[in-house]
Amino acid sequence: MTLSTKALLKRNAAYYSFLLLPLTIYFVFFIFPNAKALVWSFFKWDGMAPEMEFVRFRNYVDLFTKDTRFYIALKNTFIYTFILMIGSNLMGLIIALLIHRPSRLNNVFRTIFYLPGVLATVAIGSMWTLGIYNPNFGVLNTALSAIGLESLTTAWLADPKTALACVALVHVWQNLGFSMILYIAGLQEIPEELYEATAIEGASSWQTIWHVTLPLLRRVAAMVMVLVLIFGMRSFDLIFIMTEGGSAFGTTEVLTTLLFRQGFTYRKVGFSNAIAVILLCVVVLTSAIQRWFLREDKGVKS
Amino acid sequence: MSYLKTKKRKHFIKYSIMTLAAMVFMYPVWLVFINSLKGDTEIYTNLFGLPNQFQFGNYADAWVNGKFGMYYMNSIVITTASVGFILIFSLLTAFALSRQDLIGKKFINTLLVIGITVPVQVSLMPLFVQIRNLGLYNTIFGVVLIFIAFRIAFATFIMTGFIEGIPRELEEAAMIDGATQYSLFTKIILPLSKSSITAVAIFNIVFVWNNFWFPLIFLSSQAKKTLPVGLLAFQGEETMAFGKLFAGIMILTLPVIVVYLLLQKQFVQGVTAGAVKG
Repeated sequence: MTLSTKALLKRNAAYYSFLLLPLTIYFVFFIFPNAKALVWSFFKWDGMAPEMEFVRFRNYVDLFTKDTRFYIALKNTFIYTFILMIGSNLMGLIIALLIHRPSRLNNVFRTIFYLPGVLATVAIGSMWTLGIYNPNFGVLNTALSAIGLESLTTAWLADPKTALACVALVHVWQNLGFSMILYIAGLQEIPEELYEATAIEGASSWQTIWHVTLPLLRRVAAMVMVLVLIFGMRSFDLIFIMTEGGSAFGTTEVLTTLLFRQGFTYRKVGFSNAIAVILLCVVVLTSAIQRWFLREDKGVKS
Repeated sequence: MSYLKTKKRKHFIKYSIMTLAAMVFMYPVWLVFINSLKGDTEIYTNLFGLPNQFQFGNYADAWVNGKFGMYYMNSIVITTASVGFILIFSLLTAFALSRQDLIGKKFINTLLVIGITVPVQVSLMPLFVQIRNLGLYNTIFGVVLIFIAFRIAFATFIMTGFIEGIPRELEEAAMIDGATQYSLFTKIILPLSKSSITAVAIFNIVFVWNNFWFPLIFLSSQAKKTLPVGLLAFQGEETMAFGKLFAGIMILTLPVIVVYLLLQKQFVQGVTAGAVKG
């Protein structure tokens, strides 16, 4: 079908009438504030004064040279993300391997394991803070005392040794259903004949998983890994809710909570936005690597 | 014969372990549920057991005195408005983006990719100033606009995936019959997009309903608080009223659990489509 320029323009006018309102909202409340964050990171400002002072890269330099909290937050972000990535991926994969075949019973299990993924973080936070981690009557300390391991009981979310890992564990609980669903989708794409063939060859189920299933899951695994990695670096809600905004003696301070505190509590707007920009770079870079990976793979396939 | 027997036994062992794992996994939710039906004194003495006497007093207490009834209404208003607009806007955007002859397609696509990668906290401060300057601070309208802006990219990508699956022949036939782009949208795309609309809808219903962050930052008056924000505030104020708190958690989570159980097939579809796109 060839089109005259006039018809093309007429059609584009129709398309743009569709796009006008959505893109305006998107621009005003999303793109513009993000661009502004980038600009503000080069200024010194308290968020109130009419004048902003242009300081070039000083916020960034200060961040890396003067502020030890930044390094603590960076380290905590990596630890948190690492726990989330390993926990969510490994457990998601194991459960997916066990229940990926479509059956009524497996469906019930899938529903159960994804359920925490739809619950509000605020609800999950109080659920675990009160029910599980509470030092006085929570499940964890009660159970430890009951089996004679009283020495191990602690105030889980206040103890610097355990706080970060405890929050990350809740995130694993919330997130492993997501990994599981993606792994199940990946497993269901593997043709049944392949399993039959390996069964005829007399392979044990372990051998099948190791030599057939896992290599074919590589692409899905790479995708899940990167997605959960990004979730980990962006995570804020649970830490904010469970440990008073990450302030619990700095032991659960991550990049997102640090930038929030610097901006809203200490009113160091430029400084806060410099942290934001660094976080942004890390996330975008990771996501770009993922896109590149998937593209590469598509090319090989076709 | 014995082969079948061992297979059956293996099956039995596997599902016994799975059942046990599922029970441990669901324990935090179960704990909140049974304790929401106990009196406060019983929670201290009997946290793990079933209630001696089932009582719904906590729910009534949370609903009326804890203002959860009011929060509930606010949550419904904000969720309905946000998700409604997200659906309409993302469908329109996805339709335009699925057209081959759209000028500037690549540019718009790139802009939208930014929207699914950037962490929410990055733009928080400028957004706060922006909202204040536009006079939208502490308005439900402002929060709805923010939800639309932050969710439209993701919704559009899922919608585009589905729309591109609609056979081209259908559209070409309609075009030959003289259909305009508008009637193409209303007569062909819209009716055929039901499943994608459901997927995007439940996804965003859950997101907006559960989100505490935007209402917390951009709404200040008590009368406009949503359920998650109300629960968060309640937790800070009344540290001893556990029964009421547990009931509040149930009030917040039950509607989502029901939606999830009813529409889980579309939900799973949405997760998979979203992950591949995102």
